[in-house]
Amino acid sequence: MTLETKHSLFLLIFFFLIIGLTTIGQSNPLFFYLMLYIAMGEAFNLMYGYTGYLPFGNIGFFGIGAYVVGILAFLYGIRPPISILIGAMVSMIFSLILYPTLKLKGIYFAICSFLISEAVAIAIRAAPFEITGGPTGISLVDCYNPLYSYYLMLLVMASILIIVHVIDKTEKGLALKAIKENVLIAEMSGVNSNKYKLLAWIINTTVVGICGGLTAWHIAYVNYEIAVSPVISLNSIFLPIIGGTGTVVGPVLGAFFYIPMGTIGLQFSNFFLFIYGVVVLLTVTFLGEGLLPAVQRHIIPALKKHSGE
Amino acid sequence: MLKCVDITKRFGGLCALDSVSLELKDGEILGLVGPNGAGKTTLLNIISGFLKPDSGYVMVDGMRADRLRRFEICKKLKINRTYQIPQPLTNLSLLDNVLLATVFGNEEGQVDREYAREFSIRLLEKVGLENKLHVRSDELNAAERKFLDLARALATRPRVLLLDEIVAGLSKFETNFIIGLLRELVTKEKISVLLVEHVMDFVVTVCDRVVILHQGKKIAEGKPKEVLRHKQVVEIYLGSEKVE
Repeated sequence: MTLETKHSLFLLIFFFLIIGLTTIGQSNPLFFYLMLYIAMGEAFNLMYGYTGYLPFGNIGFFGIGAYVVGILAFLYGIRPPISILIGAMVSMIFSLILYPTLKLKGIYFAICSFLISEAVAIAIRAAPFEITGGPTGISLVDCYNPLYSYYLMLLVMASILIIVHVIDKTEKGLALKAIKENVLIAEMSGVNSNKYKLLAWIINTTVVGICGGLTAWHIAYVNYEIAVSPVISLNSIFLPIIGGTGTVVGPVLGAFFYIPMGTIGLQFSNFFLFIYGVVVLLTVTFLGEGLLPAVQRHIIPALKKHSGE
Repeated sequence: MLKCVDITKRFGGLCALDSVSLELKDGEILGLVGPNGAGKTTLLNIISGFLKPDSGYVMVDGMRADRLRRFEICKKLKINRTYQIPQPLTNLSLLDNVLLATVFGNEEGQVDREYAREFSIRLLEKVGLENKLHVRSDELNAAERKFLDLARALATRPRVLLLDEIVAGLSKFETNFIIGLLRELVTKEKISVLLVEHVMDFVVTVCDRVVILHQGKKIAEGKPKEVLRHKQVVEIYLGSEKVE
């Protein structure tokens, strides 16, 4: 395989750039969701695949991003590109407040992170309806612009892909992987582990916050079901793991494998959810490390052998 | 160069170290000897910042080491160590293991990327692992893991090297190799070495001075051959002659 990661990422970005100009890209939400899950998957990947922290409660930051966009438009009439930026900052500041949770390890961090996202969900539900719009949610129809939100999503996805790629290719990636494996040894090799954990954590939460705001803008609506949706939460964790974490391409593969299957399949029948579940179960059981390692180990050698003959 | 002053460390009711003081001089190889549970590894852990002492302190060139974080101990004080159970970073290749320490263990800007790579490869050559640069480190055998630990410690260019049972379980040939390497490091690079060891032949051959620990207390100190003849030391290792 002579296709380098750099080139395949470039092709991917180019693909979305072109698709956005076509009628299919503009009418079908599939492509926006693909980019959304790639971006959130890469953010998750940076925390989990590289640094070894499972951010189980990323949806909390997604909810913050989405509701900041909603509330700013609802109360103050501040429109999306700016309010998304503010949402990202709120999400980042919130993650800084939660910095001490990075002292927890393994499953304890995951549980803590999950509980915090639950707390965010409860806080959103409990907030006065005059601010959040209550169960009816907030409509963003005034600033609806699917083309803009599509290309902003593309920009965000491209940025996080490039960030993760650069980290992967430089010593920063080594430091993160060393922290994942053994934080004491990483420190004794001179790595300021707190600094690098914080770096991964902030990139992760900021990107997820932006994704929340962008989703709200793209569908022009925010309510509880969207902002703290268990489906988005699970998909953003699940897809990168299925694709293969610890590599840049893994989460992309995961998103491309499952999102089209889900969105297209569900248009035909609800029974599809069952098939979807079975496929997920099978991949987890038989391809534990993810799709990418499986492709590298089995399919690429087979192709090489085939083309050699 | 390195001074431990009145270090005490308790684990619950157990007193692992009872006001132990010792000094490691410039360019010296100091052996730390004692039966299992004497507190030798605990002392190394305190010096390298893995544990905080309950009382007492560690001084390196007039700086308090026990107040610094581990990466600062590695980077600023230039202390590094190997481990009783070798600790390769198993998700990285050998080269990346050493490269990590080369890049992060030295002050930023001091090493450029190309040089760091060459330096790491040279170190792996030095410990005889040059054929396995791109092998993942979980594929190494026990002896190779020890050598990788050593190469990673050396990559940070330490001035004080702490070795925890580096030759335990190594063959005669490998032990001699370590002896040669240590002598070269001390004479050429002016490294001071503090080593914990049970293999007495090795200690006698390589150490300039020996400190004996027993149940957390320092009981003897001096030239290896003299100290190992010390009455109390013989009693600890072989039991007393009197049979009651």
